[in-house]
Amino acid sequence: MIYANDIEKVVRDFCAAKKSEVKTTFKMDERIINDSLQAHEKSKKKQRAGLQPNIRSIIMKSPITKIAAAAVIIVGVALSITVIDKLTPKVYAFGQTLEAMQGKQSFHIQTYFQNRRKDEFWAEYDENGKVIRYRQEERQGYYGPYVTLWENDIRTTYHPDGIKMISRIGNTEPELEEFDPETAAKEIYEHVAAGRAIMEIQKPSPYAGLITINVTRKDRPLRQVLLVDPNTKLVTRIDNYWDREFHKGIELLEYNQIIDANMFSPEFPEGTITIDQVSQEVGLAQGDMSNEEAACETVRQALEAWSADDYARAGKLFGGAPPELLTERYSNLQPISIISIGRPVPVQNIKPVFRVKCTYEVEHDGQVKTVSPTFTVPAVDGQPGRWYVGWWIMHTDLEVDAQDRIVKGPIIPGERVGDYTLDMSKDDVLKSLGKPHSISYGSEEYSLQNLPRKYYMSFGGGISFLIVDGSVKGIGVNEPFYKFTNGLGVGDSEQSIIQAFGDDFYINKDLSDLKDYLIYRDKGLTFEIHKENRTVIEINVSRSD
Amino acid sequence: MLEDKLLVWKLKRGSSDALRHIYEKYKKDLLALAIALSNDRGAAEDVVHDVFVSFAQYAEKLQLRTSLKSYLLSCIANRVRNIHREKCQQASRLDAAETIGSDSDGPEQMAIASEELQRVGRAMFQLSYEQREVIILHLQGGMRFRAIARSQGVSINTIQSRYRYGLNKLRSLLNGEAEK
Repeated sequence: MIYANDIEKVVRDFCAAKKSEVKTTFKMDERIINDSLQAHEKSKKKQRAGLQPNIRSIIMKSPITKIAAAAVIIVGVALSITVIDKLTPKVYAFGQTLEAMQGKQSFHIQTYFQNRRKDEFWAEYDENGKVIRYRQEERQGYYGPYVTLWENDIRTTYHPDGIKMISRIGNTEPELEEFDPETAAKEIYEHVAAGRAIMEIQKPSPYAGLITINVTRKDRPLRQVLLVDPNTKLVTRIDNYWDREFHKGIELLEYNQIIDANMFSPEFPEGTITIDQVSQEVGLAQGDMSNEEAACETVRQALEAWSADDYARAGKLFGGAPPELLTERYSNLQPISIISIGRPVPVQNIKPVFRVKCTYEVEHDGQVKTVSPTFTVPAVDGQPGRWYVGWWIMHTDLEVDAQDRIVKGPIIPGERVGDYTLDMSKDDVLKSLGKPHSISYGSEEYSLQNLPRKYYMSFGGGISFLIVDGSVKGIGVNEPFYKFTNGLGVGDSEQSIIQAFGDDFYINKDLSDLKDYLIYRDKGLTFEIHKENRTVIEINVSRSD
Repeated sequence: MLEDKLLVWKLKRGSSDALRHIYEKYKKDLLALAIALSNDRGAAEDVVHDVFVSFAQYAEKLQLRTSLKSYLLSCIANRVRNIHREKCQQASRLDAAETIGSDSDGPEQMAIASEELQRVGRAMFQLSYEQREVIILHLQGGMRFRAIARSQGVSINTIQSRYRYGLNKLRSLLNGEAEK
């Protein structure tokens, strides 16, 4: 019951909560400031123009002031030639940027994917433009960043789960080239020079003070937007928009600045498990076996050695892992008897990798249980013809079979997607689906240790949950295998949705210009519709009104 | 207040920095009010844009009889009210759905708010536009009744009545005693 005296407080709190969620965007700020300044300038000019006849008439009434005015004008014009020369900004040409960026020694950049922060890179180069060393931090949200370091053909990857892996990787130039702002600027120039792209340079915006360069490729559906600092002439940001819906960008944070040496040789947390593939031979030699046979055989031998407590042999087959990886981290998965080694399934990757699901018995709390973990089997980097079992074991059925479990049930509007219901607890979701791929809200990312009141939790298999105060308030799916009982789902046309669900909907336009929202409030359903091909790209289920 | 007077003084003398400063200072208040009144983020951004551009255009003729913040908030409210009237006149089905009480963020976004906030939000949109407007201007915008009355060209008694009736109705709705 709300009493008369309390209602003001209730509404005031409501207004404060809504207001705290409001933020302007850079685009909005820039648009408003630019247009306002222009309007302001115009009105100033108008006013000055309006004043002019009066001043002129006052001056020209007197013959003496006529002569004085003429003298002032002559002196003024003479002076203004030099003054204007100094005040007028020199015309910018893209060649100045190429010149400013030439001879890179180091850079520090932030990459973006679909307008969200992704990786951060620090790289150093020698005088010939060859990379000396780099550091990459990949934001993962749940774990904290993955860190990759590379120097002298040795790559160290640190997984925040407490695993460090050292391997030999030769030429990393192609990996880094995509993020190198000097190369990117050069390529753009070459495309423009060859007539494959059109470049349009705009004046510095009054708000941010940066020069905007629009580049439109003629040979592919790519639009690039570059921001250039008019003082340093350096590119500060490059955004690539593919076919209007795919975005990748880099932001230059530092260029040719000295990078702290500790960035390239950080101290890892105490207790980090090191998997060393450089100072020792690891894995199993392929010999005459096919890739698939080698993958199966590597897993079989690794499990047999583990089962026999032969940690030297097992460690070698697990890619150079120390015993503690198997005795501590995966102690609950030590086999006592192998039932089956599954068929190897290739994983799309730049190097050969297979997944092999195995079934075997383990002893757990004095009881024998059957488990079916999936092992990853990649080729060893820097040791041709050898295969090893990766340390990342998908050891619950959940991670592998989550998709199967989810799609066993249909989408029920206002209620559930498969087994996942609105209002179920966040903990039940985690128990069922395992670790989320990401936890985020807006542009912020979170971890399970640091959760806000409301957030999105995304899992593999194209399902995500809106969690508010620890329980599910919305479920989103974006893969075609999620279906309603009528068989409709992601990928179907907007028209078929309207035919099936009726015309009691309304449409909201998304600010991004990529999609529209087809909303059935009474059914608790929102369909994200691709703006151009008008098909469903995501379905959101929430409580109906 | 002194700072605002100085900013307006500078602006009237052509200072672009003053214009930027005013925008930075009040942009969040303006956008929040526009969203609260229009319930449409896209439309709200346009309203803030139009109001601020117009403010910049006529800055040199500006004669403030109230605080700068109240003046800008009134401009936002007036602009949203005009749009609301236009929409009502069009009376298209879609517009009607939006003004009756839909949250333009859609059901998914509605779920973001806690149950309590949702209840209040829904109830707010069952008030008449005039009642909702005065409640938001007073409780969110911090505007005095006198300033609201002046900006709308109505008596202060009218504004206070709208506020009182609005809050009473809101309380009834939230307590589940609303007349059907």
